[in-house]
Amino acid sequence: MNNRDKPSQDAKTLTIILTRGPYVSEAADMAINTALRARRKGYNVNLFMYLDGAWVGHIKEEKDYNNPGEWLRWAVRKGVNVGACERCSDARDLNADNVNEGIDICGSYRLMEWVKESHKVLTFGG
Amino acid sequence: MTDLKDTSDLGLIITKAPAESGAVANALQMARGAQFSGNRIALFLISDGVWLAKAGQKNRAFNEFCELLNKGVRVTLSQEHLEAAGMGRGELVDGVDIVKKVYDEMVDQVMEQWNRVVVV
Repeated sequence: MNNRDKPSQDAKTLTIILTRGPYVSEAADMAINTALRARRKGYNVNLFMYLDGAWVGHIKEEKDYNNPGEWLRWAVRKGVNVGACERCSDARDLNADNVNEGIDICGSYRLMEWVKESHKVLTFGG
Repeated sequence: MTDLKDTSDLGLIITKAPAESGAVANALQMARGAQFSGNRIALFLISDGVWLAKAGQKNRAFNEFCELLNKGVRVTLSQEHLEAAGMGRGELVDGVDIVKKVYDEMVDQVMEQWNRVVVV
């Protein structure tokens, strides 16, 4: 991560919650594109993948069509904090070995912390 | 610096088609109630939400939408999703702003122009 991609203490924080899986609607595309654009504008961005949203982290291969997994890897590289619900991941047999690097599989207490520190919270997929 | 005239108390991001469920109509009804209480409202239509702006519909969500439009609510609509739906400006109601850089515009409105935000 370059210095310019590191989160800033002065910037506002946006938390995005994704509750729907990839390739079933545009929710994942909107969540990750919003995260990337907000990060580019200098905001601190958290992206929490909840319920079926956790599946996005599982897309690791290249595709010749829309690839939310690849966008998620960009987001991690650009300094977006990406988390996946621990219980939701476990229920879907998702773990550190079969999701993209940089995704923090964490409890929902992390989401509560992110929401508390955020200026705005967006939920996609509900 | 954000111009005060562009700020809103409540921003509503609509991602679903008006007839997909009752969620869109209910959210718009809530927005209308908030406006009636003196709050400034803004709508942002993206993904299947762009269908809400198609003229001539007969459903509850569209009726609520027109009520808000008639009260001067600011409406922004994604050009990318409008084109994906095969629609053009000529098929839309009057009074909506179509934006090309949809995510840039949405982030600006969410982070700098709206006090509260709801996504449906």
